[in-house]
Amino acid sequence: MTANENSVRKKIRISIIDVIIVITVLACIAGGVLHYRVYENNNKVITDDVFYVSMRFSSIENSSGQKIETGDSLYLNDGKVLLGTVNEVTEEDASFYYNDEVTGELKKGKDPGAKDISVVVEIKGELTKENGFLANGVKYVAAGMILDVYSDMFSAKGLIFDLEAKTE
Amino acid sequence: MKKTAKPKGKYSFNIIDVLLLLVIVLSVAAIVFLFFYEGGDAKIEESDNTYEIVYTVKQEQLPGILRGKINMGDAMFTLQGQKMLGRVIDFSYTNSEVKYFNPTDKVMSSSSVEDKIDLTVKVNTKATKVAENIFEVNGQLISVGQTFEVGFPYYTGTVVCTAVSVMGGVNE
Repeated sequence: MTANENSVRKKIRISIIDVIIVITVLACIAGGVLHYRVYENNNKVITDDVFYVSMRFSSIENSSGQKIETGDSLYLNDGKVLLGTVNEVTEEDASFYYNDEVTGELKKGKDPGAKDISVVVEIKGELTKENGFLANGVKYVAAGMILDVYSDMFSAKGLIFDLEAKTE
Repeated sequence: MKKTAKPKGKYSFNIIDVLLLLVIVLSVAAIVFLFFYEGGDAKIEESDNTYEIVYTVKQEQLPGILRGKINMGDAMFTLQGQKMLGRVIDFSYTNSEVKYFNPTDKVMSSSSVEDKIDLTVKVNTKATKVAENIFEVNGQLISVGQTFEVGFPYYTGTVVCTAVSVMGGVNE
């Protein structure tokens, strides 16, 4: 063995400390991956998928000329961004509450001059166990929320009342 | 004149070892952070002033179609900033009772209303005591009468606090 070869061998000699360090680094990386798979991935139930979000628009007057149909694009008034596409529309005479003349009791009635319109909107987003549904990955949307939306022939505030993942 | 090399120990450190040690320390810190930071839960600092509380929030006269959106164990968080306020340990939906004036008998009466429901949720968390019967969780005051906008994974609304119980005592 020449003196030069000896010198090269000395330079690349791996000490016990190097081995311990490399093993520790690998263990840390493995721990990080494990944490991601167990916690982050478990928390994120569905990513980048289509959801059906149900909304109800109450007491839309028949005379208002408002119209919403399947296939319409629905936009959020806040930010003027696309919320999703209307997948289903159902209408019924608007419900309202009134006090009975004799007993004063609160009763439910129907108004044929106005409509309660329920729509199902297809929205892309992600669902997590802890924080729920994020429409388009950014906007938190949950039942009970009132969203101010519009399409080309419609503009109203609607109550979110249901959310489900699209199943093929 | 020749330079004489200093005698080295068996396990001498070089610059690579130092850098790798630094990487280890940072990696361990990162892993510890990832494992122990789970949103707002970990943010509630414990001190002598920290109590485990159960508080009740209510929302009245909701449309009936909003029934069944809350689950046991759900996180409840502030709508602004999504700061953790605790976890659901109990909930119920009941038919709303509304007061009305009976013009015939000229008395106030009450009855349940079709398609209207009341939501009651019990939440468990650790909280800092601010004053007698007043607690704070992640910047949100919790006391009877406080109204706040909250979110759950599948539901959101404006609720009012109707009771606060400290483990071992009740503030109602």
